[in-house]
Amino acid sequence: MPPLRRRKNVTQCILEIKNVKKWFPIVGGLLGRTEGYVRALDGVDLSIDKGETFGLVGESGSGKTTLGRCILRLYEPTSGEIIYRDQDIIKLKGDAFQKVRRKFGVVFQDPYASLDPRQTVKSALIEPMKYHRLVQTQEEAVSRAKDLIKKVGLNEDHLYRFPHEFSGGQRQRIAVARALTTDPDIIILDEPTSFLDVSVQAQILNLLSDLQEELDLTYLFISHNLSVIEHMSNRVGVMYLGKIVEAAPKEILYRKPQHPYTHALISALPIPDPALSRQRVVLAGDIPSPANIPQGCRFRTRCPYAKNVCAESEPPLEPRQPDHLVSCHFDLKMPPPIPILETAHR
Amino acid sequence: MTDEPLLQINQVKLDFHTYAGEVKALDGVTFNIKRGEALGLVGESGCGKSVTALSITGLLPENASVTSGEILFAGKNLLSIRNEEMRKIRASRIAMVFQDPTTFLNPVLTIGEQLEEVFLLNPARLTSIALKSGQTKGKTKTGPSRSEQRKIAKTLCIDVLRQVRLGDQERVLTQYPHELSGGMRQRCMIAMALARNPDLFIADEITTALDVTIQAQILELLRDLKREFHGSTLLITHDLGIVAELCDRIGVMYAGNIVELADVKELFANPLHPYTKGLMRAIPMLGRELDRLETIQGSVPDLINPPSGCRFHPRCPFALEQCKSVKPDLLDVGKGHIVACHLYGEERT
Amino acid sequence: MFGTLIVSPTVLVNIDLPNRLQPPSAAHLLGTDDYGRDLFKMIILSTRLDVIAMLEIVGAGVAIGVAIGAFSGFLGGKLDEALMRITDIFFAIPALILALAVAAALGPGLNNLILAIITVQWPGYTRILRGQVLAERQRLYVDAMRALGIGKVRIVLRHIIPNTIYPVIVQCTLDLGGVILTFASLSFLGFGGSPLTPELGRLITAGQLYIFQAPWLTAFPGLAILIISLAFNLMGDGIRDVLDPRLRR
Repeated sequence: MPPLRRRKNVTQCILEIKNVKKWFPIVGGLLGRTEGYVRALDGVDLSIDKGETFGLVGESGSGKTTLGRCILRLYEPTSGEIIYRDQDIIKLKGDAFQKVRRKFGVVFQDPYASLDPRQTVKSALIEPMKYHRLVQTQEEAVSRAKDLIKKVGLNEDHLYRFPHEFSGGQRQRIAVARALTTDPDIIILDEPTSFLDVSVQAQILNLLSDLQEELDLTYLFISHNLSVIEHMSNRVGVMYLGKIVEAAPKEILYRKPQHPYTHALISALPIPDPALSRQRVVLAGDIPSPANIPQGCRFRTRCPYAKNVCAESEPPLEPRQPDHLVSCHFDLKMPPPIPILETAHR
Repeated sequence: MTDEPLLQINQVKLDFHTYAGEVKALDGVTFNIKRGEALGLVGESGCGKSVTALSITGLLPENASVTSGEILFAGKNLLSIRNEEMRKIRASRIAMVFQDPTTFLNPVLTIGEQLEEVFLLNPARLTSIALKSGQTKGKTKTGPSRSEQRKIAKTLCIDVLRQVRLGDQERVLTQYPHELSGGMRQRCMIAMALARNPDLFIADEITTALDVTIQAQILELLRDLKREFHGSTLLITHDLGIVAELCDRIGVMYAGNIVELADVKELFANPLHPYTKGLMRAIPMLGRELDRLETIQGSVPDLINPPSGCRFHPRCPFALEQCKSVKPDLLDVGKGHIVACHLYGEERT
Repeated sequence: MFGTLIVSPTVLVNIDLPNRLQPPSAAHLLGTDDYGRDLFKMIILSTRLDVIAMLEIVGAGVAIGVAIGAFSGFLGGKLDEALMRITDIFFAIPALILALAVAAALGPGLNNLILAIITVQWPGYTRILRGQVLAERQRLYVDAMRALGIGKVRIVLRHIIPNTIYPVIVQCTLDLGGVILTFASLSFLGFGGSPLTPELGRLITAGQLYIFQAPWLTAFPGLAILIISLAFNLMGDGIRDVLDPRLRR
């Protein structure tokens, strides 16, 4: 078994997100005028390679969920490009877009709400296959549905049941099966285990890993849980108030982050090891609202290293090393956020 | 620290009456909390940790009934006292803080008004403060007037807000809950709890709904308060990282039972119960280079028809024949490490 | 279309003038009317007409209401705005008066009366359904289907409507009792169908001329209307109780 889930040597970019913005207008007053914007995504740049798991991490207001939805075009981006296999999918309409949509699967956070309660599992799996004419006959559809349900660790007779008869973990398995019905390349996983218990989470994460190996899937794994992200991802991007502030392979990000927000985020993590003593970096203040993003560097209001230049201009997202993007005016030498990672653990 | 524990829970069994059947939520919960210690209660959903806390504070929903057991707090059995007495205890001796501050704080009152209320519930304390500082104009026998009480209460409010590291306290007192952020509301809740100067402070998943960096702030606050607060704390969470940081002892719960209880360092160094071991291995931990996590097969049992004997046996990789029929007792295997498992049956103390 | 099913020639055949205005007796259980026709027979025939009309009205009302409400709610935007303003106009005018006006405009005939009442019946269902749809379309499974590429029409027909239709079903079972009253009232006033049409309201119209001589001519049809209305109301209650636990799920 390979120790790290690093994919093949040849990296091929499968999804590129260029300067994507999503601004929600704030309508107020008697005349319904636009008073301002919630800048949920404020210029996101990132690229995902085929076969990898890209972890997207952030807190409230970071825009990570909005980004997932924009890629799926559940929200229409205000501007920017999303390039999938050399095509800007934002510009696609109608049939062409529906074809591309098949290549993206999604698993949402809430297993209780993501399935139509009145549809049997079988119906939920067959519907996308038939709608996209991926199968010719009913028998073929049912046969594929049986394959998929077994692939996610459930039984054939589960096909004839309704969602409310299943536990949260089982429903997520069904959601994964459904995502696979259209034979996707990329699956957007939006906090897929946040509502699940720890022991069930482990099962689902293992399932996702296995499926990725077997079907050569690419994952965009969105979560606020840094431990899960570290376990699942190859590369990780950190979002703050609508932008990526740092992106790097996970080993580097977690051990030697270069953005003070990343540093604080990792340092905040409670580690289940009472023998560990450490100095946690505690950020002052609260997360600003995306309707009122600070001028200049958006993180400066909470940054322990902020200087004047930070209020004047916003630092661009630039590669400090070939695979390590950071947006900060300074090259900060910060101590390792968690000492535990320096030594081989257990 | 006297030897006698502040809180002793003995074999508490509790059922919920639902239209689907009787949910046997607690199946003989036994543990104690010593004076001045921080006890953590961990477990997954449905294990009964929140229900245990609610039965201590007497805040159970109507369809819950305790079928046996006792909860001894400073000598009294909390399960058998009258509502009025329980209310008094909640007002000044046991304080509980919940996960969601929005449901806990009254949206139409300012923070100041709500905090003040807590202090005004305890006029005796206000009186003693007034007398000590000579702030009262009223006669010694009748104590300070209402307005004087409120003045004293206000000072105490500012003090307690400072204790929870809220800046600009005067301003916060004039604000309504919706004007504050999640982290600030959580601090206000903690402030309201501390305002009572309780003997026991219960925190039920208080950081679960918060962002990571805000959670860090609250955890640091709790760490500092631990030094300043001389009462006992019961910390309920599903996050093993939090209990590792904040607690002296940890109890692991599964399906309505305490399955293991030990000092925090001992528990992490030497977990005994198969569930505890499984739980620790199932959590993704930073730095562990693993392709797959170890899982506990199966899922949390249905408490209307729980498994016989040891409730964990259907999922236990080490289950013995007797585990299916005989429920294991809690055994002390040394160093105060208690575990309920037949695997350790021989090591009786 | 509607009414033609109903009018049966036997109505005309049973005229028996010598026996007109007879009180209830063994031969004629409820007496005879001013044409000598057996009132009991007339009431049975009328009930049939009234109930069928009522079902047609409510059925068509629901169909129109659901169609407009579902697409308006789901698609939103200017279409939704426009349709809702139109619905509001219908609501602004008291139902009975509007029905009267439409019936008068359409002219005589049972079909026209039925159409008139349909026009006041559908807006209620539109509003209920649209409210439900607005909530339902925020649900996560709708997003999941959109992400899968499933088209909006299919989502509305196969998923949204089945999940939101219960309140409408409940409402229409409650409406059944009221609709029959409206229908009978307007018919009583002279709308719809010829004077000979066996319809409960019309029977009362005819009977009111003889209210002192032959009170049974107004009393029994009136009682029939009451019983039918009550029966459907209770049935609606019962249906709601059966559906409710499912709704609660």
